[in-house]
Amino acid sequence: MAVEVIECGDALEVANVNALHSQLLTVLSEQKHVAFNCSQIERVDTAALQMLYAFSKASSDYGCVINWDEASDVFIHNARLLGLASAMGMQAST
Amino acid sequence: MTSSTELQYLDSLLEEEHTNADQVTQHYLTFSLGEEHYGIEIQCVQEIRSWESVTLIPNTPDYICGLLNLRSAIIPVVDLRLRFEMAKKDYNPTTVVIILKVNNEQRSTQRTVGLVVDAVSDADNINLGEMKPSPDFGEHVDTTYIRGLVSISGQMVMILDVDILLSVEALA
Amino acid sequence: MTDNETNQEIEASDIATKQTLPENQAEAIEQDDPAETVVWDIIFSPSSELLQLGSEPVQLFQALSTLGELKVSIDDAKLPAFSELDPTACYLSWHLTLSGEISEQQIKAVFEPVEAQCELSVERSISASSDEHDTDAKVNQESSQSPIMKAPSIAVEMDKVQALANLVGELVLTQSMLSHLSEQVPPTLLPKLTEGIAQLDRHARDMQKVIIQMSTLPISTIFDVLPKYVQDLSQASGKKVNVTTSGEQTELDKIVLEGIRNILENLVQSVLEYGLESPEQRQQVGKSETGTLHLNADHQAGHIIIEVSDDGAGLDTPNILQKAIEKGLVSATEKLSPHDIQNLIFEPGFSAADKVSDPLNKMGGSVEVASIAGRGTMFTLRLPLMMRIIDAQTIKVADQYYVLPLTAIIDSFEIDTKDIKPVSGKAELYPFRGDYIPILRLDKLFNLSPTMTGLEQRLLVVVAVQGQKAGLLVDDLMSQQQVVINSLETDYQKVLGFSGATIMGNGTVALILDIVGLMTLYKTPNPLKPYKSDRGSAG
Repeated sequence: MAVEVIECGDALEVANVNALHSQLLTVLSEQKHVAFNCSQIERVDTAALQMLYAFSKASSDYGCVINWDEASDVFIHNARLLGLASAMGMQAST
Repeated sequence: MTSSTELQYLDSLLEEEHTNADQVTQHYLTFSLGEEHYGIEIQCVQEIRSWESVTLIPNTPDYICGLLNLRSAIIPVVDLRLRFEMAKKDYNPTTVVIILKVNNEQRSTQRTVGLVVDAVSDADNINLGEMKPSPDFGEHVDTTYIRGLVSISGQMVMILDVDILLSVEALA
Repeated sequence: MTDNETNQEIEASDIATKQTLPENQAEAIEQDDPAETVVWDIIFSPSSELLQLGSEPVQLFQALSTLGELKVSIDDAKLPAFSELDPTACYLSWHLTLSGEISEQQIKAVFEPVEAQCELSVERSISASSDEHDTDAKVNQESSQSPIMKAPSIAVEMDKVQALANLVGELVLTQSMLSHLSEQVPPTLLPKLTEGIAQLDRHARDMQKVIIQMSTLPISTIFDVLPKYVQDLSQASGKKVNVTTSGEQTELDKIVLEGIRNILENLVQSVLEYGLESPEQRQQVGKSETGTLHLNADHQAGHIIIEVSDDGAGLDTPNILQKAIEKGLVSATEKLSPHDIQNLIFEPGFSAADKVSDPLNKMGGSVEVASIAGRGTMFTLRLPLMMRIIDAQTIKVADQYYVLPLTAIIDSFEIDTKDIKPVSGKAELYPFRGDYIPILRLDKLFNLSPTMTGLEQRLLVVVAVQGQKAGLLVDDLMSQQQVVINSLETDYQKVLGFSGATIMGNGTVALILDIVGLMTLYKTPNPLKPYKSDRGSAG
């Protein structure tokens, strides 16, 4: 399967989460592995993380792998706070 | 020489120009240094003021007049006559300072710079299509900041690119 | 009139009810303040509109995590298929376990803003450890990123802190202006005015200190972690290195701290790779097997200085020059000092540019390197401080006024011309506390035409920075006050000897002196420019 790289920019919030949802719907239908570039994220909220969590569940059903390497500290921290980090397969960072 | 009423008129012109900014305008502000006339895009002009005293910065080229307090912002002021190596003129309350917004090379940041000139004229609508390229002045004169030449009412006006003229490298 | 009376009556009766509490309520309140560690089970089920209403569980859980040890697990029973998901709706609920010396009230207080938008249950936990659920890792703030957050705290966006910082900056300007005005009124006539202004000054300083503390952390958060990072790297490479630090207390803005972490890691990595030799190589040249890497941090009016120095092999200057010529950065005939050549490693095309100087420049900082072959290398990073208010001394030199950071001044006194010792006709030294310090004639350094003839009655202001001392020759000392620094570098090329400019109480602009720059200016003679006589005259 191919790997789709998704650039997340510096913010994933309820304001731009619909657009990402549509994008991911397409990716899901194409059954690709995904690498999310969240290294620049400075703001990420529950809506975005919930959606990414749902996506990670859906893609694992297809056997697709999601890569969160080098996600920013903010991203990892918020995902942990919400109890989503290990469920989404994020490695513990230093 | 530009009187204060003329300055006010020009300021009101600027206001008009700025509100028409969404149309693609080719409005230029023309000013003079001695017998020579120059034009700059009105979009870069923030305001026009008369001369106020500045603070000298030691060990800088003579065309850097100094620093000005503009409503709590500290901005450098450049003497264009000296920049063009023309004879210096004394500063007095009729001397005009054009306050410009200058973009850096990548257009990512803006600085505010004051420019001392002799006098400003009306803002003109210039058809850039009529602009002729500037002649080659030879290697002694660096003219990358001259966009071109245009004729207005029989006078030759040199169109300047302020971003290049007042770039950080140029003012070193 | 009657309105007022009625209002007062209501207030009085309110107070009355508050004061008489039923006994059992009082007891209940007491019980709510536990002295020992309690474990709470919290079930938080928000309505699906919670997110649309602007509430943010991340912030709620963040607040909880500062109260004690927090474990979080989700309940995603209501989560629909991805294609049917409405990203703005909330489908998750959470089961949280919070342990610490925490009362139920504290927990409920955190959830108060969203009370109406969720179902909340807070119960004391029966089992001490609840590891039955699919829990996530502990979300305590134990990482070195924010060691100060053990005390109750709130998360504040940096924008708000910046806005506050700007307001305080304005406040200082206003205070300065008022202070200037009040100087013209004899203090005996309006004692309250002067007292009020002195109070304003104290308040502004106190606010400034709090803001700085809110938004900064000591660099120890990075310095504490780097030694281990270096040891891990060195073990892999077989090199031996001892890492020492100084200036760990130096405070940095949190944003700058985040940015600098990576840069320092990269820098330290390349020092280890290229700078430090293997134990065998070191022994061969008579050095100890274990190399030294030292990190130092310091403040210098308006900037943070971070030094990374090692006693390794130094930069390969000829190699750098070669590469630079190959990359077309310099021509083969250009005369460059070793220092110039060494600093070419920050130009595009060299790896140091991507990893160090580019990210630094984006943050408004800069880097310089100095190296001696066989002896070692020192990288000096400069970073801007967000809040740039300093205590300053105004001085008069010729007909100009300048501002000197108070922290740089050691002493000041009237110069005694008999004690001046000339050296080889160019320099002048002055005895100071058992040592001789150079006299920096600021009027000469700044190419100003002196207004005072001779040296009598002039003042010497002794300054020190980075271990060097010098005496600045000035005409007079004026007042001391707080000033807001405007950086000069963003406007045009750095001007040597000045670190910024500020607006004085009377509205004029004054330049802020940078001692290190002045020393450099003093040592490297500039071609003298003729004095510009009518510069600055208003006419």
